[in-house]
Amino acid sequence: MLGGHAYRPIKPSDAYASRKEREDGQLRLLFWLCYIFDKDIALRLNQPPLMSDDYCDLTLPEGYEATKIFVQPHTKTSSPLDESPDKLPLLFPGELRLSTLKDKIARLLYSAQAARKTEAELFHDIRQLDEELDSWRQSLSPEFRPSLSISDPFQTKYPVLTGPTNSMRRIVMHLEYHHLMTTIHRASGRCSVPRPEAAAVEGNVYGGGVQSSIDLTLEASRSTIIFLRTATRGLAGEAFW
Amino acid sequence: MSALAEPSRYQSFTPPSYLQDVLPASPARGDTTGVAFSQIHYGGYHFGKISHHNGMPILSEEGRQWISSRTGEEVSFDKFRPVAEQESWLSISDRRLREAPDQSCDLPPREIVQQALEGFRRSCCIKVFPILDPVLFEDTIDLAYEPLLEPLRLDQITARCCVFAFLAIAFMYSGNFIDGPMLDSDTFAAKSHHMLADVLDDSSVVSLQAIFMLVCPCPSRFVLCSKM
Repeated sequence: MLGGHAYRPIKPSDAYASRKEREDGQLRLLFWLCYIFDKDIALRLNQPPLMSDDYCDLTLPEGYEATKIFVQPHTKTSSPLDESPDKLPLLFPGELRLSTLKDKIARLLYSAQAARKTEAELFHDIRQLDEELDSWRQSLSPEFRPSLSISDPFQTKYPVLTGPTNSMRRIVMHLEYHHLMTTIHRASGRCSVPRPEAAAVEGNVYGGGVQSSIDLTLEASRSTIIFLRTATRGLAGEAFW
Repeated sequence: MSALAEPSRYQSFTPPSYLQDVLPASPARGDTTGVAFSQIHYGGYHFGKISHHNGMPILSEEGRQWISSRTGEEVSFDKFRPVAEQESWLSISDRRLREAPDQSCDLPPREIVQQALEGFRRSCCIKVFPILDPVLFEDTIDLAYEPLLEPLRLDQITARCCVFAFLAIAFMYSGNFIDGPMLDSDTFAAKSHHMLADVLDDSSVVSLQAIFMLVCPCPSRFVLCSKM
């Protein structure tokens, strides 16, 4: 209705912008905020999203991917704690590429159409989404990249001198990653009954693809619990309304 | 390397034979047609469903039995419920407006709003939660503080609603910039909510901002996304 679904450039806060450019940029920012929450709620509550990707221009804001969604120190001598807002990139309360992936997950695995898929089609989509999620994970800098799994609380430790924004963001990205891993591979749960007779032959009770997804779901769930026990001590109080 | 290529240390399991009679069989291999999409399945067994209200799993009787058989404990989510029933902010809204109905549209001193805006502009929130542009919001504040004259203008009501909503969340980032007593976020939220019925008729960026600041923690996203 307001037109935020169409691409509009978002000018950096320290650059000059006319009133029209400011209004266009703000509208596009509001679009992305609505998009993030719509896709997150749709996935978590198993409700259809209200914003259809087919009718939205999902071109990312200029320079968004280059920032790698974390605050990068400008020089070796500058303190990462010096987080003047003018120097910060657009961070948003979620990650835009993960939001588009959440829409895909909901549509390909948990929609009414997805319920009609054969087992082979389902596993094809699970594999495709798993690869997309890992591609996103690999796009992050190594120091911020979520671990494939967390079995040791010491894996949650993080260099202190990175500032509160990065700390919060790292925690959220880890939890988001493991949540999506669980959600993607949990879809395999509807597929096969256990086959005790296969245990002697294949070494596991289910088919290879199902067993692998079950393993990944459980491992991601365990990683989430271990991570929550330790890393969330660094959560800022403002994160909770 | 994809996680699918990484081996897991998870040990496979075999459910006891008596549960195989109790638990409903999954659809035949390759046929998932009869399965509703909000259901939870594990290893082909039906465990329950995802609540459409809060996203929490609701276990079926079969799911409870399966978990009890594995853990030796009775499954109960009662301990995860709030210790005391919290008064919802909607009832707070109604109560506070009944106590002072004539002051429902009164704004605080403009200086308070300016300080809150300055706090927002200087905090990292402006990049994490870019809900408004500080320059454009000055116009919204100007409109909100114009005297209310009959007939009331919808854009002015919307502007006031937006300012109240902004003040309701100002505590998150403006604490160091506001002198005087702490902001009563609940009262500001209640005042903003009281105006929502009129604001919903206004399709503008300002109304969208007001609604988003009020409702974004809640799964009531219908109004937001339909306007966008």
